[in-house]
Amino acid sequence: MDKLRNNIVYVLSLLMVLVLTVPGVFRPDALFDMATYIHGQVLERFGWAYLVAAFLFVVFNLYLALSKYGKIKLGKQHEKPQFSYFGWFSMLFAAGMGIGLIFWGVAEPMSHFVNPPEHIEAKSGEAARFAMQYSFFHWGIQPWAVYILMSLCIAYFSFRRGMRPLISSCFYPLIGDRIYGPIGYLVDILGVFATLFGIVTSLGLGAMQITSGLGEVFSFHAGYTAMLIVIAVVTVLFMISTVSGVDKGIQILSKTNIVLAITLLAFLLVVGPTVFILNIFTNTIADFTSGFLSMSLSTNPFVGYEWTESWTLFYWAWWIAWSPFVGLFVASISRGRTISEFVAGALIVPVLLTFIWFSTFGGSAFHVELTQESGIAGAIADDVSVGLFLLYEHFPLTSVLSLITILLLSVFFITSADSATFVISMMTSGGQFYPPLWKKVTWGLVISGTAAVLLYAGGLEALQKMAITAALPLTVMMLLMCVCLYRGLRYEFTVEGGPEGEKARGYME
Amino acid sequence: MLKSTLIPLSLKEPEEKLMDLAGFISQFGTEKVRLLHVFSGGEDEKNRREFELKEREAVFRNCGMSAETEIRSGTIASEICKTAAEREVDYIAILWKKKNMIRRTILTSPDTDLLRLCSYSTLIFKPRKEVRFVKWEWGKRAGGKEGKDRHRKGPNHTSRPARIVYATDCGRADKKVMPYLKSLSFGAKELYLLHVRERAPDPESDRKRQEELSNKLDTLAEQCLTNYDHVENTMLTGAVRRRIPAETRKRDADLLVIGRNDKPKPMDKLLGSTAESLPHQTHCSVLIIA
Repeated sequence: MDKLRNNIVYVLSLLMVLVLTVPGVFRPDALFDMATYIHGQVLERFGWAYLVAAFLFVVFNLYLALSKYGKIKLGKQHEKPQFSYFGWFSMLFAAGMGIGLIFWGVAEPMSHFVNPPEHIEAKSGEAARFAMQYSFFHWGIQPWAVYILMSLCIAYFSFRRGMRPLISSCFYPLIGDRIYGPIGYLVDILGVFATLFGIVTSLGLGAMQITSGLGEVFSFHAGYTAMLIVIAVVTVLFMISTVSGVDKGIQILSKTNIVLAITLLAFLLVVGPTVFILNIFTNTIADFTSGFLSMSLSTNPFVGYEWTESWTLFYWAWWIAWSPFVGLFVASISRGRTISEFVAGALIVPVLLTFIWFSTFGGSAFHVELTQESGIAGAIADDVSVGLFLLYEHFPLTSVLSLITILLLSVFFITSADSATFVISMMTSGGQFYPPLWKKVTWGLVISGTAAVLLYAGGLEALQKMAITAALPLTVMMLLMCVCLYRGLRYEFTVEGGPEGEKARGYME
Repeated sequence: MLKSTLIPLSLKEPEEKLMDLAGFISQFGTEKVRLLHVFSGGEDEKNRREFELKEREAVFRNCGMSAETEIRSGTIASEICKTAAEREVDYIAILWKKKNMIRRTILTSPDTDLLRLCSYSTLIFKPRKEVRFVKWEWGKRAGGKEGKDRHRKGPNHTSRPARIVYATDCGRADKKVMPYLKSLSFGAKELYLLHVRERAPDPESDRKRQEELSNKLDTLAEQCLTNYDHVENTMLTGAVRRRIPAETRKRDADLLVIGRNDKPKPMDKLLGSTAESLPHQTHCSVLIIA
């Protein structure tokens, strides 16, 4: 049965890649038009549902953490966490959003500052305040709540209840043994779909940006050949990392990332406009907390709807689409932690670090833009990837900072790619924690090959939009997962006598 | 045990239905019946209603039970509860009048209020075959030319319950209900022990839980074997409020027995307890043991 299941999900997922990549190679425009249409329709019609769902996930996570269910461990009750806090936070951050912060740390506040919703005057004080507040919001609580929910469900049903670490396992309380049939396959294939196309587009677009950055520093033409070389190098590195497993490669790379990121952060905080940054941090924390509820549920149907659609709703769909990957990965590194510890840790530390990051990089960019009229905001409006490098030009050790950033980007890429390869291999191996080597290699090559081919032919963005469209069924799935998780936890208390109950211990030994 | 009962009447109940109820509760070993009518009105009206209520006593006496009447004024559900407490009856029997959801939500239903307020054992009696009446003149039997329109539709009804379904929670409720099932047969020959369970969060725990519940049901069945010709266990997975009515229909049960939960879940306070909701969904009579 397991063999059949593994092969069905594996074969169907490979077929899906082929079916969607071929039009991307031969008819990239047609694929882009179709993907744009579907993506636009979904956002326009169901955007509000993303907002409501993400807010519900926040409430649900907090409820679990603060209720009696918070004491339940994601594993056997006597188990201790596999990773130290530093290793865990590093991997959480690397898988969750590390790479995004490098790009958007400067670019997002500047973009909102130049192009705010129509009711706010561009480049005004109000626009700057709005820009920081919404940067915090888009990268703050909700994204992590989405990831936490997915991770909690997978971790609970796999480590505590002894099921395979698959998304389909989470639906056992609702549909029972049908998770081993077509419904289960469909759920897992959807997870593979969102993860695979998410990572393919990230790898493709990321290779493009790394090549541009290297071209700026070393003054060479960032053509297709250079991009291909970057992809090849990244592929070799992430394959080495993924083959060596989570305990070694991914953990070491993630820790390196965090050290590099904190070094950059500390440098800019000390050398940059420290007081201005701290003022921005304090002020935006106040704006964020006081406006949290309003931002969480504002679809702005009267004014600013288009802005909300292209930013907030896009982000929410992206976080949800990305959640199977992050969820599975974070679950696999969170064994042995209690629900309270998991929710508090994943909701406080990464969010706080994100806020400090945005305040430092966004704040420095604002300072440079407002005092020196640097034109960073204008340049970002044309190309978001140049923001950080332009900012460095106003600080000492520009080349060193740029090189560290490129290194950071590359390492983040490698960590994302190897954890995605690990997760996809796991999902297509019936949830084996140590998927076969050949599957890891196959998926690694499929990811890189698809990215390289689509980079040449075009069609990467179309694929990205299709991956984001998967957020719609995933949202429904995640809402059902809340029900399943709640039922599981309630069952543990009502039937098995709670986490320390004799039955619970007996059942799970 | 179920020796005395309080039966609230609106005085609109057809005699034939009351006869069915009387026949039904006589199978419970009920010996003493107290008929209660709650109304608001003047003294003349009270006398008239008292007279009408007295007329109903005969129905129960004919089934070998002693009957008394009582008239009270006030809110129906509260007065019934008060009387039950004061008279120390063993249970309350209600002749169920079906109301659709919109009607009972907007106009409210004394029966529904009673189920919510009352913590007594309660029988909700539903005659198995509906009797259609154009107008029933109390005291005149159906017959003759006028009586033709008043006859029962369908086969003759028997008030003796043939099949009983006990929806057990395999927990606290058994302690309350089992003494009744063990000592009273209710005149039934077949007893079905039904447990509707929630699915465990994983297959292994689910299997173990099923084994455990199956053993519990077997133990319950053994305890009841002396009282019934046929005892059968059924275990289902799903929502209690949906599966129990479906199973009683499938088994063509005449009586559903359930225990009232002393510790309602938070959602029960909002949506109403299982005991409150089941009478609306089942086709047969329901005995709620408190």
